[in-house]
Amino acid sequence: MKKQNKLNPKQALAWLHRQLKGVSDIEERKLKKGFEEIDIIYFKSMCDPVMINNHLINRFYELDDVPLYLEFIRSFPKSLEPDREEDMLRNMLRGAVAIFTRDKVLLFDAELVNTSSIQPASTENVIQGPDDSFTENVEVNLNLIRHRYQSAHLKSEYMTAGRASQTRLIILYDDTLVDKTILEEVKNRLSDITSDVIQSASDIERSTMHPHWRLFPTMMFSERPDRTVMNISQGKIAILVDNTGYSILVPSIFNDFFTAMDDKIQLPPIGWFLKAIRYIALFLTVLLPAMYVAFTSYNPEILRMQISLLIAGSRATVPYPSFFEVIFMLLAMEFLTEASVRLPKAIGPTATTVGGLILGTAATEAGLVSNIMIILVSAVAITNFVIPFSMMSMGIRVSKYVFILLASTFGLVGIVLGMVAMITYLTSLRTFGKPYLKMFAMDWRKKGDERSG
Amino acid sequence: MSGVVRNKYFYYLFLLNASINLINFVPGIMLDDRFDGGMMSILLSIPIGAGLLYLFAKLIAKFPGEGLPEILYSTLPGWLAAPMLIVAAAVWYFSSVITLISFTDITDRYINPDIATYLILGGFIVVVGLAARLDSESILYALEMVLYMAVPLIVYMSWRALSSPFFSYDSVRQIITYTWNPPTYQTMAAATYVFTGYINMVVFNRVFHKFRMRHIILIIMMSIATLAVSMLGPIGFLGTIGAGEHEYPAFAAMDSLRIRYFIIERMIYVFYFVYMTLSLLNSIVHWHVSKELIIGVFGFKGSPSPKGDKKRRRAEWWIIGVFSLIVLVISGAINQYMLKDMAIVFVDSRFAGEFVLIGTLIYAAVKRKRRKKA
Repeated sequence: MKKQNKLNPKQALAWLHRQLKGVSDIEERKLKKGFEEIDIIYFKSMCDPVMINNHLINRFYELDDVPLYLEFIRSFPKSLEPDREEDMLRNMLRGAVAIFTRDKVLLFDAELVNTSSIQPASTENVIQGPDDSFTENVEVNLNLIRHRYQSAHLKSEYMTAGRASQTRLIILYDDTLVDKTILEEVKNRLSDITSDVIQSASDIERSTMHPHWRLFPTMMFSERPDRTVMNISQGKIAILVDNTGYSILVPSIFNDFFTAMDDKIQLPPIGWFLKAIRYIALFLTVLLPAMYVAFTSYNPEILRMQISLLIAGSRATVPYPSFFEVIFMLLAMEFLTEASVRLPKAIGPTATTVGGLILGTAATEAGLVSNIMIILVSAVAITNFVIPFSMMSMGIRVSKYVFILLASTFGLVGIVLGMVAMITYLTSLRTFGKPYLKMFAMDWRKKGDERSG
Repeated sequence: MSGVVRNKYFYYLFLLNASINLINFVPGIMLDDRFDGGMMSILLSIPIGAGLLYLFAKLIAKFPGEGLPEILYSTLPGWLAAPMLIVAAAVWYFSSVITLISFTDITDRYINPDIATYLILGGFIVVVGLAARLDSESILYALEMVLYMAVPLIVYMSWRALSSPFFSYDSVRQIITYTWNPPTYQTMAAATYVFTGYINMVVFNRVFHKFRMRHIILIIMMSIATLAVSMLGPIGFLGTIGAGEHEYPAFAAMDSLRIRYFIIERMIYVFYFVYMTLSLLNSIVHWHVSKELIIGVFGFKGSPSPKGDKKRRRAEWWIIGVFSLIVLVISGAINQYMLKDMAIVFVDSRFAGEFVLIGTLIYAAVKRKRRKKA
């Protein structure tokens, strides 16, 4: 025991008073019993009053003297003696009660946690399978994971990020499976975070990943404990962020964003089929609008004669070039999607009805867009929704406009150029040193493989 | 964190070069000599080309993780190493110039006659230039992806071509009767081009740390198939005489194929799509290699990392800028005949250069070994 490091209660109390000037949700009480007196200070908003009454105030009068009382408080697992004043204040801000006796300062954890209970997953649904999702409390989330991964190899390391928010992070990994260099990299980057407030998992992504300007996510956010556990068992690292309800899984490669938990739940051939469907959807949603522009405006001879004639006939009344038609319809579709996300539930159906009516029949009857364009736009929208992660589907949603631009300046050549550029761009990305897009991405998980030079 | 890749990427580099062989200047040069030793040079090129490839693979395996600049500067005096690197870079760069310009021409003729040639070439240059700046590892991954998309289509198209009722096996048989004519140096040089993909290893070897050459028989079979298809395919479709009269025999041959049960009717568009991606990738690889060789002369060491240092970045931009400018100037200055002459000069000098390269590597390996013993 290093006594000299401990705080002097008088000085500490004075320092604390200076720091807390103007903070009105602070509660300070003097407890007196004969000659003995102690001060307790805490944030009303952060602490559980029942706990303080039972364990601190009642006990003080029940127990014989202060040393015994202090022993009693020390027996609580989360109580501690702070070494520095800043430590004391930080713990108080987190829901600790500071107890000042004549010669000691003690902290007693009485944190009051208001969180919602465990809800079913809302953004990553499965057909058959577990339904729980993470809550906003990091301890509950850790509990959900430990339940599903009962191994002492599952290591958890605590960190905080954000100067003002002091958001708690828990780094989780299986130490027999994890790649140590990646783990180091993750810890370094997390401790490099300089922003003041970390409120969501994407704040972490923004301030840790390079380059900052990206179109595709390189960290996966999951609200599902089962997916987190699956990833941990594959040697990845999970970062739980307090107050977010998401875990961050790193390193995440392109293919991971096309995996839904259904693939594992269903029989293997069905899982492969589902994945194949998603990749086909990816190609369609990115390329269909661009191909429409290229095939109607530049290279109608590519398609079978009958199809070219069909498109031309359907476009007969349309008074502007095809790229304008495509942009017009896609923008209408984007507006509709955005509106239906933000609208209150009561008005939601109205928006879709009105939008569907306008996009569906009225626009073609007015001769503003061709019938085939309507089919194409709905195909693009549907295929975009097939991608299971919203961050990825957003990136893809944006990238199709790049392809339309290329197709309207270069035709088919532009699409091919875009594809080559897209592939090289994706393969040049790294997530914590791992290649982001690679054929046969699974093989990096094998360790000690002789041929991997 | 510059990565390390598996041995299979060596085969991809070979495969890229071999498949591009079907449409670049090589079939044109070989078809010119179809009656005088074209077939013989195919037969002879296989032992020679495969021998060079094997020797090179054995030699480069002695320098794990090193590129040609590091090897040369550590074993040769600087005044000799620098010009050698620059010449190697220039030769390698010019093959991509020929590829880019001829593909722009193909695009102009077969796909997009409405768009200005400069615009198309500009698009090519932007993509190639930006991608060539990436690190070697990323380029290899991109190459792998593209090959997995392209090779099944190439196999399908070759099968459709060879099984077509309009493919005249009689013409092929007739050309085979000319097998015993003695070959010329030029045709030999062209025919061995199919093996030349290994030269890219002078830079990409930096990401191979335990490189070992295996399955050379696969490479030989691949090359025989490629050479046979690239020479005899056009002959089967265009006839023994007609095959020599086309600027792009492979495209002309493919344009005679029809897909009956798909929304695309003419095979040439599939062919164009495949070969445009491969040509772009090939140019990216070539620019990357030349850029790295030149940068080696200026004393920047090692392979570029995803982050990289600033000076190196700036030097890269300058080199890429000069490369782009040269392509634009050349494309404006020359015509089709000059392009073909350029291709012949390239092919000839490359064939001789391969021997020089391997000789240098043998010298370097011996010197390195002696130094280790001493």
